[in-house]
Amino acid sequence: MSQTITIDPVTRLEGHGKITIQLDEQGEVQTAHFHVTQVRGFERFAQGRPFYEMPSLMARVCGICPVSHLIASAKACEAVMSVRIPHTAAQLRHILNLAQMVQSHALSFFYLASPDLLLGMDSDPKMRHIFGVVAARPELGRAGVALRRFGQQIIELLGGKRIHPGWVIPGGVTEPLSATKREQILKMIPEAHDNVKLALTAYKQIADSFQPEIAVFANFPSLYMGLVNEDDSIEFTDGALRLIDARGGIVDEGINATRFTEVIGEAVEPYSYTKFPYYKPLGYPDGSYRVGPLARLNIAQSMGTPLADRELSSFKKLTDGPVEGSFHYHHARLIEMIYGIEKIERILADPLILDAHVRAAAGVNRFEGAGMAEAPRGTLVHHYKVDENGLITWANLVIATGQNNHAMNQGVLQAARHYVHDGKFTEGILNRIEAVVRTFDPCLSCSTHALGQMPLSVELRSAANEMLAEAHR
Amino acid sequence: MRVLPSIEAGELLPPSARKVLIACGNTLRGDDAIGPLIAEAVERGAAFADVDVIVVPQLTAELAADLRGARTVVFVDAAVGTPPGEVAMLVVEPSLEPPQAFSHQLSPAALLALTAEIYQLLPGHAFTVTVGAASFALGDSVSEPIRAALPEALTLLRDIFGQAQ
Repeated sequence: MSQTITIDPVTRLEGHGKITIQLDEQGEVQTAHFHVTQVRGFERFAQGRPFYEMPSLMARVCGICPVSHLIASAKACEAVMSVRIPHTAAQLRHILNLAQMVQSHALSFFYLASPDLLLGMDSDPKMRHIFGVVAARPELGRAGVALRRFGQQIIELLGGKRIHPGWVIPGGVTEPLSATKREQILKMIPEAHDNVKLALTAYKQIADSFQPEIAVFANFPSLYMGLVNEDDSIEFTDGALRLIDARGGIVDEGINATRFTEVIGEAVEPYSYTKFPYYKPLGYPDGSYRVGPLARLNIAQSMGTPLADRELSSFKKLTDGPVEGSFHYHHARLIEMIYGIEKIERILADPLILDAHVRAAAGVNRFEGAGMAEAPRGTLVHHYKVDENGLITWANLVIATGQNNHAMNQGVLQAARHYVHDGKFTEGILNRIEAVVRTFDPCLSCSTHALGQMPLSVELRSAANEMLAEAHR
Repeated sequence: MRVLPSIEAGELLPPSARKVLIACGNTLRGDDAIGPLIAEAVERGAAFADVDVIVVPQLTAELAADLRGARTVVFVDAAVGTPPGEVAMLVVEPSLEPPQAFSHQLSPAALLALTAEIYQLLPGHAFTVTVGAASFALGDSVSEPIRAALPEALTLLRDIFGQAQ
């Protein structure tokens, strides 16, 4: 008799999701899906709002990466305004974006992933959480808490709040950086470096013991997309997108926010409220691609800062060509944290960083605008249409997690097929299948915001899994 | 004036006299804003000049770094299940029971336990001060019972922080 294995909820993720694994009559895996089960509706209830409200509205999509939404939204508004923001404002936003990236990656590595990495995939589920990590490796618990605080303190210093800060507005930022705050941030840098170095050392010591998982955790060829600068160095706030193939060849590049909306389509599947973006010239699903730390490090030829460049060089030696195994997202996150800390220090040395000119002003000059930035999890795009009064008539968000949706589903299927046979599985096996999704560090609350005529199916099944009744919309 | 309970001998006390107020709440969910409102008043009040004020939507693990070295900690929040406007104070002991379901929504007791585990330091005194809520509906203003309770809550906080030396 066929059987469905359901993992609900998937734990140690941001947001709500479940995994279903359908077995055939022989107990072998037929299909597997990662279902995102929450709906938010931001794209719909933003309609009718003045465009200048959008950054603070859209920041509420998420409590981990609100800064990404602030920046992408502000850039979309600036496209409507047809303004270029002052250099100092761009640099300050860059610091804010990098601070968020550091604290978000710290959350992913220390709180969500390290219980598996440090305690083991088969460890006692009752201890497989941050408290368990702190009990087993208190120095890593301290490092994780400190790195989260590092990023959040910078966000609070610049934006006024640790979560859902303000400060970023269409046209720039509301106030310049003071010398006092610059010194406060600089004082935090050395300890942040020490903490990331501790984590990276610990990771490198245990990574080899996960070769079996590395082999089957969403390990397959794919396209990759991310922002780069003209010198091929990594970029998080400006630059243009590059899409590369599984051999590292450039498929498309120089993609700005406007072109993104033209070349990227969004497919819908009946089993998830998250969309499935794809590169239109290749169609769906062949045009599916991965974003985020693994993609960014596959695309960039340099980080542009010394310590991160050294680590990137080692990272790229893991394989010939782009690194395909999604388990290596964990490693890539740590390298990006090193880069973020180095880059924040470098930007603060810009002689113009305390300049008072941090805002450009304009009204509606175009009726459509798009803005993009690299969120911790990958490329984020906000795309708006406004009327002549500047009221939002249409909004679309293309979220990083959605762009990894196809890969997450393929990854879950790959792992399920490897581990589940003859209808048998252990708790450790189920944890491993969840851990595939964790490598992508998805932000599910961000990724589901469309509200419309959502298909809905309700099934009533008996204890023997016989269908008793069903209803569909 | 309420008397603070004495701390037990043998506990590791931080050398500093830091006082920390952690206010939880969402200013867009009606009476859930009482925590941030109290925090605002504390930041303005001369009697609280030596209190570090932190406002958060919920208690997350990294707040352990803020509690490190604190002598007195007070968690302020709206409460359900108590009459609207009722101000209550409870002593908080570090504990991981019941087990926490989310690392981004810790109880005060769990956060204290995490702080002690990470830093081998235990805040000398820890309390929750809560105000009974009438409504958590979407909105940016608080109900009248909540607003009327603000002075009593602030008096209680003055007692707590004033006695903490």
